[in-house]
Amino acid sequence: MKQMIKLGLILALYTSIACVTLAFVNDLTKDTIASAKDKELNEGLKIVFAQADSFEQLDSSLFPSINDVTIDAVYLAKADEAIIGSVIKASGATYNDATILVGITTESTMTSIEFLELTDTPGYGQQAKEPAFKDQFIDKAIDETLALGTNVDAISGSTITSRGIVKILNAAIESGKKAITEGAQ
Amino acid sequence: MKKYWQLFKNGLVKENPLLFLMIGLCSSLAVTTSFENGLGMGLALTFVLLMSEVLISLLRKLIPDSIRIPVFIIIIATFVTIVELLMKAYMPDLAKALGVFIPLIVVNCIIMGRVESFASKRTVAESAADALGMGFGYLWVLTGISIVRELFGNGTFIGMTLIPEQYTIGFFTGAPGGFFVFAIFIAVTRLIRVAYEKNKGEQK
Repeated sequence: MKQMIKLGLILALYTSIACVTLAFVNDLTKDTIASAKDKELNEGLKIVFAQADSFEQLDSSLFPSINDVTIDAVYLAKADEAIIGSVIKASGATYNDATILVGITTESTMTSIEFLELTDTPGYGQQAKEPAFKDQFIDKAIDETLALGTNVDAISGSTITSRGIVKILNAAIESGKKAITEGAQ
Repeated sequence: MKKYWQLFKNGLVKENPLLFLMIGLCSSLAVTTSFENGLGMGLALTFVLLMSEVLISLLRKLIPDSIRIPVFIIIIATFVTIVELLMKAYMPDLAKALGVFIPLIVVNCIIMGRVESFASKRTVAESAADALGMGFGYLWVLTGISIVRELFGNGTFIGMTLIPEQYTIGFFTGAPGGFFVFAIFIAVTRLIRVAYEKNKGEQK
């Protein structure tokens, strides 16, 4: 019994020292990490919606997840204070996981898409990041739902990745359209 | 001094963790798709290995035998988290490319193995020499595999395109390619070692 308490205390001591050290390192790095993430997001927003000069973030709790795709953030894209579209940050399962920024204009087209994160297999699922696949979404009309084989070309050998991305995009488009109508009011 | 050089050389070639001890393989196969990733992963592991071995060797008389494994894991996990935070802050691209394999260094068999079998019994200087040997042993094999895989799979090397895209072989960037290149590395180093030992035997 005595031995058990002694060992427990020693373990607690080591753990506390480790915790204090980590808290210290976390404190040192957290601002840099946050600003790196912000910078990446802002750059992503500019890439998907180059025409916009400012972005207004909406309350993302108004946008529930659709078909297991999480809507992480919703932005209204503005040029000279007028709403010209929206940008949606959506994440969901592909072969592994993907987080995508999608730009949608008020004219019911997509501007382009940008991957913030894609953890699929190199050489296969990762091909989604390449122009051959990604660029087919530039200025694409979105009056109809996207579907593989009809209006979207899949990546050969990576059907599951393609399917997952289309699912994320459809959810993002739906939320983006909603954001534009709500933003206009 | 010669003793420390022997310990260093031991990890580098003779008991190379990847090629001869065959431990810590999963991370080495997963991250070696590009030269930068291989180098980054190798350096991260070397740092964690060195710090953990030195600290554990320093504390070896203060760690009760019956709870040594949890204490080792706490120490290793602390250094891994430090590396992860620093990498996310100052090298976000590399952190993204290595993804889950940085936190997974905690359970890397090379570190657990060396800490348990070496650092917990030897002096600080010997442990440091062993850690550097094992760390650089891991590093050179990792960078070697990544250079081959990146060159044949992507046709690039540190941003330069050496092989035109039409002639690259996608197989090398996938997992089977990793196994294949790794197996060739093992075969070639063993061949060299056998030849070397035979040569040495004849001279005697």
